[in-house]
Amino acid sequence: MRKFKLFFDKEKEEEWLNKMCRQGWGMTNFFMGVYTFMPCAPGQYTYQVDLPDLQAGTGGRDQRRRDYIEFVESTGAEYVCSWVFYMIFRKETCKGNFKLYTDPESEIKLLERLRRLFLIVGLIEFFLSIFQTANYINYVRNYWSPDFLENIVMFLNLCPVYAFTITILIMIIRFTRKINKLKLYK
Amino acid sequence: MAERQGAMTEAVYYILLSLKTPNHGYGIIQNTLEITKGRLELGAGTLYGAVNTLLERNWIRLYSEDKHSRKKKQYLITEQGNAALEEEIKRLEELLENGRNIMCTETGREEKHEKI
Repeated sequence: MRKFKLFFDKEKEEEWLNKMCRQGWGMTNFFMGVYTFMPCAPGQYTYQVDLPDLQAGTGGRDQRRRDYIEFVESTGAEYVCSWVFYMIFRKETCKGNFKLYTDPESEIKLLERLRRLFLIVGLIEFFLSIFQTANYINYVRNYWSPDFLENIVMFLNLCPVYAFTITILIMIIRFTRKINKLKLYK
Repeated sequence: MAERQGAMTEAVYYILLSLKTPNHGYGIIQNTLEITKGRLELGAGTLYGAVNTLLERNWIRLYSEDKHSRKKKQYLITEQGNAALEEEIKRLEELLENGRNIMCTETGREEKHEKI
């Protein structure tokens, strides 16, 4: 079974994957927002979405990726798939708890990695939205359509990029709040 | 050690203790679980980050690498790591002593108050 879904928040993603698993669908692959599920025993696995620190370790990037996956697998978990910088792992529920980050220090570092990634993507989106808005204004100025509706429709075309930028901004604020909260109780 | 050593995190402390004898990642998790009687279960991501930091600081070193086994890398504490651990234990002892002293005299005082 395949399902299309977009997540910005990895915790919500984990919750959803675990919920699907409780219903007997274990996630096995991800590509461009499409999740592939295979039947499994209800609640067989616990899922964790990770943004590993691949600066750490030795050797080239690929070597460090392999090292990390091997390391996590040596603790009884199973590597499911990866997507750009993300990795997804799962562990059979009967083998015990599954949480990759168990202290505030490492959780803060994870949140800082997430925030940095969102900041870069957010900046690109921000410039893209400015560029597209400028384009739209230019176009409207030169070819103001007598059909008012057409102008509105053209403006609506800009909305996805705005929504995306705003969502990323909200996520950055959320990450910062979580980091500050963790630092307070560290 | 050039810098003054700050407090260790629980993870770092138990990793160092687990590496008094050569051990691999999974072994560190198991040993920590055992000596804390199941209280502290280190997550793989947390452990990986901490082990890499400790390698950078030269507090632990790679002991052996088995290319065929999954649990391939074994680590061992270094002299520097040992020194850091001893310093931390001294610091913790001071903490405990001060805590106990002050808490005990306080309960003592409270008892006196009650008697009066």
